[in-house]
Amino acid sequence: MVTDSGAASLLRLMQASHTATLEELPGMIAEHAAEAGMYDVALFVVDIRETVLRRLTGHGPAAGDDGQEFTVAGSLPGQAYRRVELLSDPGREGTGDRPGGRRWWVAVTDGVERLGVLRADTDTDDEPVRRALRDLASLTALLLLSKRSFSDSFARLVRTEPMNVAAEMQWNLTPPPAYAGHDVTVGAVMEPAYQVGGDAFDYAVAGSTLHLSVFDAMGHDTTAGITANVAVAACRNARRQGASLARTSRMVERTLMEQFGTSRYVTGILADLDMDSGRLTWINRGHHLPLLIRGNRWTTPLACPPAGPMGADLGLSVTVATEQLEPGDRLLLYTDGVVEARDRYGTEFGRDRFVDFIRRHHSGRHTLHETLRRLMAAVMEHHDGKLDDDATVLLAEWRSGRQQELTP
Amino acid sequence: MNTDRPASREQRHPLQVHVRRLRTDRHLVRVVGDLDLHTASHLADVLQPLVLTGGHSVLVDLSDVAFLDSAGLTCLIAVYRTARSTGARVALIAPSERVRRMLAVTGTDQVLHSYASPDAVPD
Repeated sequence: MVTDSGAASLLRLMQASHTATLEELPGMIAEHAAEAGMYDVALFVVDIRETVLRRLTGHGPAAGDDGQEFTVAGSLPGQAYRRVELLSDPGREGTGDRPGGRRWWVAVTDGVERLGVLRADTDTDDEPVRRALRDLASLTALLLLSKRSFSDSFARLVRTEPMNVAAEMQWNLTPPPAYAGHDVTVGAVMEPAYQVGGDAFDYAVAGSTLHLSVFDAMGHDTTAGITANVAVAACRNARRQGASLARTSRMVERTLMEQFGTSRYVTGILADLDMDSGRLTWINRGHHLPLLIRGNRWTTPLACPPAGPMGADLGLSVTVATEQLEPGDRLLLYTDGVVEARDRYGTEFGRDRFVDFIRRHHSGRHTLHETLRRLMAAVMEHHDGKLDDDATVLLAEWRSGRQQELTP
Repeated sequence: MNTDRPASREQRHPLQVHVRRLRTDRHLVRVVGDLDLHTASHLADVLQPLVLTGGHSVLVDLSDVAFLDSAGLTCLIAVYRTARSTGARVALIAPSERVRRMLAVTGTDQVLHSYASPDAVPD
């Protein structure tokens, strides 16, 4: 049975994990969970495209040998993942040697990014049991995050296809695809996940300012990936020295010209959101205009004259635009691959379908991150599973009052 | 940004470039086909020598270019930059809606002006 020693057990687990490898985590977590009355604990992680949940067994080159796999779209574990919930398995109530017992599936998340699901059996079902399961899943998320950045096994386990060098760079360049804090929720998706060329997104918090940016480097080759890396690094470097948005974009331009002459350029939107006041400041370097979705009432592209792509040296002046957001407003930054993805008949996915999808799926039933997962699945399906161009979406929501949805 | 041909476009359109001298200081370059990763360098080879003389105008007729990708845009931008440094001028003639959209989104239309016909280009 679950006891008050649960918290103490979690603390011991946390301390023991400091010198553990990723491969040792499943065993270590299961052992400590059993002390607290949660048995047969198994950990499943989601692939980078969020289509399957793979068991982290700790064995083999991908730490997943002999592990079961579930689909995100059509399984009970997948449902726990999609809805960010704690679910009891109706097929496993009181079976075997545990009459009255339960089998549970709980989403593993650090409160923002969904990493997978955790399975556990308990003897009873009451509120302390449910709390213990949520706590265990929460700590598990932190342990996974602390190990994955230096684990090749984890990188292998979450890939379902071979990856090209540009994509390898891009996944290490971008921040985690989910953020929540200071009443702002951010989510990002990038496709084709394994063959991405020159797309990148970035966000960062400094005090009450949330920086948001999206980049599209010309080309679809490894050099496009290198170009995007140089652009994002130059942007961060300027930003961290306190440069304004306009000056930051000029420093990106200068760095790109030093590296590539004018043979390579990057379009982009650079924005700062004051999370206290909702005031958005942004500039347009030759990119698709950001879209503002206000409630379910209207959507509008924000206007700002383009100052030319960074690195193209068109010599245009940089205009700084501002917009006052209202609580619940959603801001969409994206690259052309999302709206220009064509089906076999040549029909584009299109901006209307894109916005309509976000509004319909994000109207209460799904979290912002689940909405983006579904959007990319729809874009990929529209394009018969293979995109010609990179497609990136960065979605930010201000003061929606929905952040409690992000934990089970 | 896309440099691949959309999957739905099965037919390739090899690029043809025709140069005609309208007067001593003005050339009309008619481009026929798709301006993309595979063909942009060909156009650049033709255009670059024409913009080396200050005061000269090069009118690039894009009315028969249905498809222009980021490599094609790079070519036009590079020619514009050469012209800017030599004092030559580049103008575009009758770009398609799709090409105009790309020029407008990137801001290139602010430095490369478009005209309906060669006669509409001012001196």
